Amino acid sequence: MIILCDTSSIFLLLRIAPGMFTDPRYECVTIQEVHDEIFRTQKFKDKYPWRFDFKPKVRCLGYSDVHSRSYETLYEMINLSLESGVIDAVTGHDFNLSRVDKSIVACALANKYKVASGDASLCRYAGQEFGEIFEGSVSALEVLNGWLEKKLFVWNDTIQAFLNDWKIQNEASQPPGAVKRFKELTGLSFPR
Amino acid sequence: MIWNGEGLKKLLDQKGCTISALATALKISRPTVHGWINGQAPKGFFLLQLCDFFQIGPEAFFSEREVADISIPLHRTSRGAKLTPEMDRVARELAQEYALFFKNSKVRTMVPVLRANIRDKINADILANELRKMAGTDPALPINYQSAFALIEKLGIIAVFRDFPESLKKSKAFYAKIFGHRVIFINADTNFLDLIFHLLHEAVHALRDDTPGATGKEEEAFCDKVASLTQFPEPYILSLAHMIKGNSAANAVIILKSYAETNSHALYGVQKRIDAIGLWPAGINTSSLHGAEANVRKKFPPISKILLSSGDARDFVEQMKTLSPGFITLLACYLPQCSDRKLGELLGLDNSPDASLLREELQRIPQK
Repeated sequence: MIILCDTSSIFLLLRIAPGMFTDPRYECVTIQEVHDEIFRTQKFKDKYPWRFDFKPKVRCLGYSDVHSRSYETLYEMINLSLESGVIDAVTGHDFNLSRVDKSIVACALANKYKVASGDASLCRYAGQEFGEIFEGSVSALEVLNGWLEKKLFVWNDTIQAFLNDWKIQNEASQPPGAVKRFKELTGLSFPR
Repeated sequence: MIWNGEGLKKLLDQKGCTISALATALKISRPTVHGWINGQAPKGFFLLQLCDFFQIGPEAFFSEREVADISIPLHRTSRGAKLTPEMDRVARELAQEYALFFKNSKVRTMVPVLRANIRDKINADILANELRKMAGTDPALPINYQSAFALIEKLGIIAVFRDFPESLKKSKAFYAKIFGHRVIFINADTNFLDLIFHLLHEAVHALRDDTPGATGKEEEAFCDKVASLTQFPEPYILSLAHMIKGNSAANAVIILKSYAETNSHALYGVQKRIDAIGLWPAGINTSSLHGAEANVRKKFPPISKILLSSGDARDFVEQMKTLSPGFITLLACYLPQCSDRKLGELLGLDNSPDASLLREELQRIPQK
């Protein structure tokens, strides 16, 4: 199952698996807008100063791969329906997604990708409105567990240090199920 | 845009198809289709199926609202640049990015200010005096940017800072009414020196939005007049005119430059006013102000520089709280409803890592 990675999950996973976009076994893709966001100069303190070392590693889907007819229809549909007001069943408020968020959802739906995004509202929107065709969302730790299950790399202290950074950087918490599975796979406790 | 249930009924009729047939094809119940026809928007998946069924694009199922959600009366462009349909389209697109945010935020009450139907000097003076009183600035001095923003806040207008798209670059600011909110979009590239006048000009538009016939070139000229009278009180203009009288062109420029620097305003703004009352010395060519104007401008940064001066999200929020407290308060309440990227978009920061830092800061603001 191909996973469309959003900015937040790429920041968490890229150092652990620099080949996530170049080695097909990792089954990860991303789009140009996300790539641009990762390598754009940040206006505030840079939480990820190492990111530029990995620029050649973040390959994205080509324009024609993304902008298919079905993508364009879905994007337009998402845009129009959000504009008219779609209530989030969890919060009771209208969903409000940015241009890039809409592009991620449209791309995931058009290509049957899962989405790895730290943005809960984006994933909720896709699930609520397109549950019949949305392949679902995964957390960064679930992606990592998937790689461990496939034995794509051997866990070592360097990788553990990157994982420890998630806690230091106060990254979003990971689902309890994924935390438990991580321990089963590595014998290590997920840093909390 | 809104879901157009009647449009779906028309499409069914055109296709010679019954509600039952559509329900069967989409594997849903007839009441569900009835609900759509009666105005209940289908969820995205069924909208996709409707597009497939009718072999039609999604726009066919939506229509404009009867009462426009967004209105943008006019733009004031800089130095005689023409207003083009493209500028109008791009401004509308920019305002559209804020539609859901303002739709779901509580409308702020406008402070009642004198409504003048006749656009003459007397009414411009009255309106300007009211605004100056409200700003609470020294009656003999020009309004500075802090007072101008404080006035905007007191009036109940929301100030939003954005990097304007290329085709709007010549605009310093524009006014829009979005779901009842009166909003001034400010080009973040704008120098503080230039901004005050434009901010006041757009504020006058906002105040007069409900006045019948408040559009067109005459209205623009009236807003200019009120903005200038609000920014520069008559005593200030008279005192400058008195000071430069009898001076050489070079000395007059030095005097004007010194006052412009001290009181944060452009030279041309006062030159026009002095000229309008017939006191601009005949021997001083306005082109001699170019160099001084450019030098003064260099001393005043663009707004984006002020907002992002420290590179710290907390300082950014603090600056925003000073310049646009109304917007920041609404945003703090709105956080649960928008993604990080959307938050970044609303704040003119096209970057989700920056936006996630801002979210942390905005969460500290007590919600009203």
